[in-house]
Amino acid sequence: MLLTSFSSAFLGDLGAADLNVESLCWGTGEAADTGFRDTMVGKVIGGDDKYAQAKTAVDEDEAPEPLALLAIHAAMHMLFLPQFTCDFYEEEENDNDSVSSDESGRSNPERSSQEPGFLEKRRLQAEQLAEENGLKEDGVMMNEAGLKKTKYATEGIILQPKPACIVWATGCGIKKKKVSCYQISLLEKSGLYLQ
Amino acid sequence: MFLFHFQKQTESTHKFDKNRIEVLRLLLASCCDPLYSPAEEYNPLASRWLSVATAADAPNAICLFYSLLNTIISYDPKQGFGDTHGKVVGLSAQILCVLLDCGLSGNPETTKNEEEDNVVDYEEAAKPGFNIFRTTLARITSGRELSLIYDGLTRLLWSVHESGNTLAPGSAKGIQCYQEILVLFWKMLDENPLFMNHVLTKCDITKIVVPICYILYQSRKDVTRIGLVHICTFLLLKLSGERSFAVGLNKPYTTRLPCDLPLFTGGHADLISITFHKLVVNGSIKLVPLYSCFLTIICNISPYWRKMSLVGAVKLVNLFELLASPKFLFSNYKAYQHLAQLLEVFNNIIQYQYHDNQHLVYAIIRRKDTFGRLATMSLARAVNLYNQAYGDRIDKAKEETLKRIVSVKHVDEKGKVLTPDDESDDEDAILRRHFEPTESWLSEFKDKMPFETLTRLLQHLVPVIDDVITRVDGVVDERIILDVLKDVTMVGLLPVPHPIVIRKYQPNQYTALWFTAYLWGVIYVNNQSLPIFDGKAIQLFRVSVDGIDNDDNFEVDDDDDDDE
Repeated sequence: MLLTSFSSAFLGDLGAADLNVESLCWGTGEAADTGFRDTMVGKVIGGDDKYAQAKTAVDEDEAPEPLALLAIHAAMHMLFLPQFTCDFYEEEENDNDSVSSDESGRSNPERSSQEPGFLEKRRLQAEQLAEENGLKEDGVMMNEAGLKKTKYATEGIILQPKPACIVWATGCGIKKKKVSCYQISLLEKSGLYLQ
Repeated sequence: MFLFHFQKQTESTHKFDKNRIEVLRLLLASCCDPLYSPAEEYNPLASRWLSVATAADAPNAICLFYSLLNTIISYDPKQGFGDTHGKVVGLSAQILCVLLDCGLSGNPETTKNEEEDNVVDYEEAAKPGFNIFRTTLARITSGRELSLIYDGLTRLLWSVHESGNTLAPGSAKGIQCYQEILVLFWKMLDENPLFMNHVLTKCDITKIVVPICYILYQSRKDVTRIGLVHICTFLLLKLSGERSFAVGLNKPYTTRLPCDLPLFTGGHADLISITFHKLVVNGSIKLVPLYSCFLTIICNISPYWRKMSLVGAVKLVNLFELLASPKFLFSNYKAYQHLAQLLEVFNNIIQYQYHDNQHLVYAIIRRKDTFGRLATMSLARAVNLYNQAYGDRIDKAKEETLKRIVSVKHVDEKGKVLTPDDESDDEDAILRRHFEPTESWLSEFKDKMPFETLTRLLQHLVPVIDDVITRVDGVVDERIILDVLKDVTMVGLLPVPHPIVIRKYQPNQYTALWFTAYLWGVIYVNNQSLPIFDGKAIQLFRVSVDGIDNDDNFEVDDDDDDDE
């Protein structure tokens, strides 16, 4: 609450025009500024800045960050802090666990060793068919919107939540197996679960 | 054992919710610098705080996006989640809207890596104005997820009127954050290129129309809810630009809304037109700039409007009469444009849906004189009507000016007339607004009013109906007349059908700014119990406080609400 009031005061009462606030929120300290200045000096006078580059590369990870950035990042971290804002946390997720798990997420070795029954097979087939139809329809809609072409990139920022198990609730972008049992039971109870 | 486990889990969830509220409030307070920027200088790329929060390297950004979205769309007030969770939902909607409001629109083109995961390449992420939240929203392409979002948002909006529709007051819980949900719905339509098409073709569009109409109807007189009326109108305007929306409105309307809406048997197009009629007839004067939007929406849906109800037809013709009244018609030079739009509505229905709309045809025949008088308007009659409507007021204004000039109080020592600026502005505004009809105005009026279809319709049908009435000795049975109208064919009698004209919403910087101001206005008002913003320093909109207890009045400077 105190931090909330301070943030509001920095932006409202005092404002960005206040040099002290500017320095406090966005300043990065003397050392980093000096390093930056050295690099710039090298460039401005037309000299070779290889020494400065080497120094920057070494210091990149250690360079101080502005307080405002740290505050925002800290707040975003705090939203997914185990036993503070999240009840479940798992660093490594195993995407293949659904093969040997039943719907509640608990393993069932007896069941997994057996062949699925006739009704189970029919259900799986129907699910697969529905999924295929859904994918087809999605493809048609994307085509209509001119989004059919898929680009490929060797590296990039992944747009799937990772780890998905820290997301607060199931639903959009989240598969059932990736959330805690409690959330599933709560949502199934309320009939909101995405099948 | 199970009960103990469940209770423990509920307690921990409650604790997490309380912590989430505090952190979300902190995040909101940290991202509030748009509030302190004057509207005319607002730049969506200027906030460094928001840039950090929406940058590609923001920690847990994707998890945060899905957490906020899923928290909102999975909330059902009827399921008995606690008040704390309701607050989390409200704050989640606020922070999600704020995070989606800065930077530039996301690129919806699918990009994948070797493992077929959706990714954003680093080059794109490094561009100025990149917003990870907008990009993630734009990349939702699965129909199942789009349906889930639509169902979640409409369920929340539906709860607004459902909570007032119970026998025991207060037994059904509604939501407080419906304004944020409307903004989020707008963002979905705006940001995701598939959402609109998916909603219109795969979902029940009436689920969003009913709550919007209810909110419009209930907010019509309240000056503090003008912004709410604007956003509802903008949503309908945006949707009405699509044919599927208009066709979907023909679904029969069966809901009972907890308000004094007239009972009718018709479709959802009737609901929209009856609501707009009420807003014009019995709404705040501040809604006048929105009249053209109301009529544009009705105009856009009219070519597909089938089985108009009796109430809907009568209200539409009543609206025409109201807008044709001298008080309105001569209120300014361009006031006739509203009439032209309504005539376009009638023409669309007559040309494209004649056989399903006998009620409207009959209502037009009954008011044939109104149409006749306008079609044969002469300059002498226009001036006469103008004088009847505004003559007195103009005389009074002139008199007042004269009085002020001769008054000693308003003359300085040198004999110069002293008139405060605001007063002189008022007089000028009055004199300027009430123009006098001229020959050029009349020719423009006649040129822009599409009377031909209606005139041909009346020329053919009036004698037919007169004949029917004569045959039954003047005892009018409306059912017989409606049957006659249904049997009549107008093929070959009407002019060649005109092309259907749909007026689509065009995004522009003024509406974008209006949405930002509106969003922050709502956030400011909804965070007053423990204020986190400095009201005195706000520059994005004007805060006006009505008394100590009622601090939820705010006005957004929305002079530029030309949204077409």
